[in-house]
Amino acid sequence: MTDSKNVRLIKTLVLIAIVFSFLAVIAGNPYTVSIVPVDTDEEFEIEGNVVKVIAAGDLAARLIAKRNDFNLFDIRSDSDFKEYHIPHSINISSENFTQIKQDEASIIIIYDEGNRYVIGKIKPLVKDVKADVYLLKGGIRGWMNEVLFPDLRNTKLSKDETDKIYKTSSFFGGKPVTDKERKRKKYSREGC
Amino acid sequence: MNAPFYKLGYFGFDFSLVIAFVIGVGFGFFLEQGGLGSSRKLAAQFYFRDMTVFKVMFTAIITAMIGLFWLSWIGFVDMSLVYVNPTYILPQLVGGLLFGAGFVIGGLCPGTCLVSSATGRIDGLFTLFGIFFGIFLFAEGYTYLSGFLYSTSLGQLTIPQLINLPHGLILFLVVLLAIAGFVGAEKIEKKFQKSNEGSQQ
Amino acid sequence: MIREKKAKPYLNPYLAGVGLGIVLLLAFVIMGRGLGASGGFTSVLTTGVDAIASEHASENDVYSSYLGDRERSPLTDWLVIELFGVIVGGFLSGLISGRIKRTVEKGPGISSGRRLLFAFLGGTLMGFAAKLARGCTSGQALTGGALLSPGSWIFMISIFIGAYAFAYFMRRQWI
Repeated sequence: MTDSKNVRLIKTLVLIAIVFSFLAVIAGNPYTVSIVPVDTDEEFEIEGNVVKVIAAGDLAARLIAKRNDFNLFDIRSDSDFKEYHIPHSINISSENFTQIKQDEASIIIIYDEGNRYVIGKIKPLVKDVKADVYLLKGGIRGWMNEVLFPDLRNTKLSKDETDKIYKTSSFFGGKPVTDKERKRKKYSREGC
Repeated sequence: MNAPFYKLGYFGFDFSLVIAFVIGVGFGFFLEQGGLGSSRKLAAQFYFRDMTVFKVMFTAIITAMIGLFWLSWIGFVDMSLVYVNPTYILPQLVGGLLFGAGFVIGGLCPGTCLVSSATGRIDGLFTLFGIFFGIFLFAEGYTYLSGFLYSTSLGQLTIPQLINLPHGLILFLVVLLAIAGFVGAEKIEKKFQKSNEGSQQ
Repeated sequence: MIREKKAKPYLNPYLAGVGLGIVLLLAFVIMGRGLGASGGFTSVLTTGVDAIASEHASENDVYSSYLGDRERSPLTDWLVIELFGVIVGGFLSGLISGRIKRTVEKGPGISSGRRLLFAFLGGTLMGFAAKLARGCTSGQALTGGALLSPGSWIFMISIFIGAYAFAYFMRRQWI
C-alpha cells in the first residue's frame, strides 16, 4: 500500500472511531447482562423478587447450628466446586440440582466466586420462587477471608469473641491467621 | 447472546487450544508486521524517536474496546462473561515501573521477545531467558512477596464501575485521548527523527 | 548475483494496531478472555522445574498452582499454545517480509556481549514485574486496557513512566 493510500485509510478509520465512540456515549449500558456488585447490605430486586445479602459469618452460624431450612447453591463452575465448596452446598451443574430446586425450602442462599454476581445466573434461581433469597457477600473469597482464614492480627477482641472465631473457623477445617505464623496467602493464578 | 463462544459452551477445552494457536499466529503476525519484533525499534520509543509502540498499543486498545462495546450492545457478546483482570493498585503500580525499566533495558517484552527470537534475533532469545529467570526468582521468593502481592486489591472491576460514570462516556474520552496522543506522536517523530536506518532492519 | 533479500518496510503502525486490535477482539468474542504472555512463560517454567525438582515444585505455592492436580501437563494451557502461535506468526510475518536475520540488535555504542547481558537483565526484571502485576504488556496493557480495568491502566502508565525514566541510563545501549 502506498503511503497516501495508507493515510487516507487511517483517516477513515480515525473518523469511524470517533463516530462510534461518540455514539457510545449516547448508547447507554453495553452490558446486556447486568452484574450486581454485592458490596453493601442493600437489597435489590430481580424478577420481581427481593434479593438480600447475607454475610459469611451468618451463613457459618446457620451451618453450625445444623439448620436445614435453607438451600445453598454454588453457581460457579463444576471444577471450582470440586476444588472446594462450602459444606452442604449444591452446584448448579450437578444432576441433583433441578430436583432439589423444587424443594420448598424457605430460604435460598446463593454464592459465586466473589462479589460480582451475574444477574443472568441468578435469575433462574429466583424466578417464581417463594423463598427468601440471599446472596453471599464476598462469595467464596469472602468465606475464605471471614470464616476459614480470618485475619486476627492487629485486632483487639475479647477472649469470647476470639474463641468463637476459632471455633467457627476450625469447624469448617480452617484456621485463623495470627502473628505466630506468617500469613501465606495461597497463590491463585490471576491475569495472564 | 451468542458469545463468548467458549464461555457459553459451544466448544470444549481441546478445541480452545486450536483457537489459542490461531489467535497466537495472528498476534505474532501483526506484532512483527508493525516492527515490534525489533528491540531497537521498541527502545527508540523511549528516546522519542519512534513512537510505534505507543501507536500500535493504543490503536489496538481502542479498536478492541470499541468493537467489544458495540458487539455487546447489540446483544451478540455477553461482555460480563469476559474475564477482567483483577486490580491490585500497588503491585501493579510498582510492577509497572519495574517492568518499564526492564523494558528499556531489554528492549522487548514477553510477547515481542518471542517474535524477535522467531525472526532470528539473538537478543530476543536472551530476553526470553531473562524472563524465565525473573519468574523463577518470583516463584522462589513467593513467601516474602505474598503480603505485598495481594495488597490494595479492588477486585475485578472496570473504570466506569469504579468512578460510577457511563461506560460509553469513558470509552469516548479514552478514544479522544488516544487520538490526541497520536497527533502528538506524529509531531514528536517529525521533530526528533534524525535517521530511519536503525529502525528499518 | 546478490542474494541479499530486500526487507520490506514495516506495516503502518496504526494498521498493525488495528490488526492486533481485531485479533484481541476475536479472543474476547471466541474465548471470553484476552491475550497474554507471561502466564504462558510461567507454565513452561513450571514444567521445567517440575521435571528437575518435582518435590520442590509441589511444595512451592506458585509452581503448584500451575501444576494443579497434575491431571494434565502445565503445557496444555491456552496461553502456552497461544505463545507457540505467536512464534509461528512472527516467523511467518518475518519470512514473507524478508526480515529473518540472525543478528543482535543494538545501538552503535555497545558490544554484542554487553547487549545480550542487558537483554537478560531486562528480561529478568520484566519477568519478575509481570508476576507482581499479574500480566505483561500483552495481558495487562492490551487486554486490560481494552477492558478498562483500572489496575491495567495503572500498570500501563507506570510502564511508560518507568521506561522513560530509566531510558537515560540505557542510552549508550540504543542511540
